[in-house]
Amino acid sequence: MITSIPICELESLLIRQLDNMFGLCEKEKIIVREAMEGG
Amino acid sequence: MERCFEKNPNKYYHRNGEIYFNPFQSAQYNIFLYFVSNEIWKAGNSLLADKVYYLNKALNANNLFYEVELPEYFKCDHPVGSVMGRAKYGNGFSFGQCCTVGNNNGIYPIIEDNVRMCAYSSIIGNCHIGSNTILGAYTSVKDQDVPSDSLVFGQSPNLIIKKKKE
Repeated sequence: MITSIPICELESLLIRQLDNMFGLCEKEKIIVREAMEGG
Repeated sequence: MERCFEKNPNKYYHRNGEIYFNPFQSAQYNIFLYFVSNEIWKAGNSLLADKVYYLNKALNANNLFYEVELPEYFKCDHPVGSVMGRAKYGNGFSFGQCCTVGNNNGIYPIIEDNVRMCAYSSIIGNCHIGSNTILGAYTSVKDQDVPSDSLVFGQSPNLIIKKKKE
């Protein structure tokens, strides 16, 4: 798969968006990363 | 993440024969966020799934709830204002802006493969929509079945149903 931005930046983009809007704890950040990999 | 797009025929989701993902293509990011929230919900974290779902609503102004089992691959084009309820969806489902799928008296529709909903169309209640059917703009199907390979216009109970040409 080709991505317009590197996968690591995609992960940090989503985590940053969620963290800015709602706040995320470290455990939630890990779950988001796992969900992205699982999906 | 690849499962979201590998079977999707959308030209923007493929480049040089490979799957192409761009989070700044909003409809693609919309689908992606739905799958992330669904994945997190299945893993048992409803609060975090709520956050991803809310982010998706805030960014894309539509409602793809994580508990709704959308098909493995589906497509949405500028889907602002659309609400997809707890129907049974077939693969290749697609929708545009301001489309609604929902219940009537607690009964939700069954939508077979490759059904396309054009702008402002709705499928409500006890409906069985056959495969490869297209609902024209502003079409409203309520408690009524539609056979496969149809073009549908108008509003229930006065739908105009035409057979698609080969």
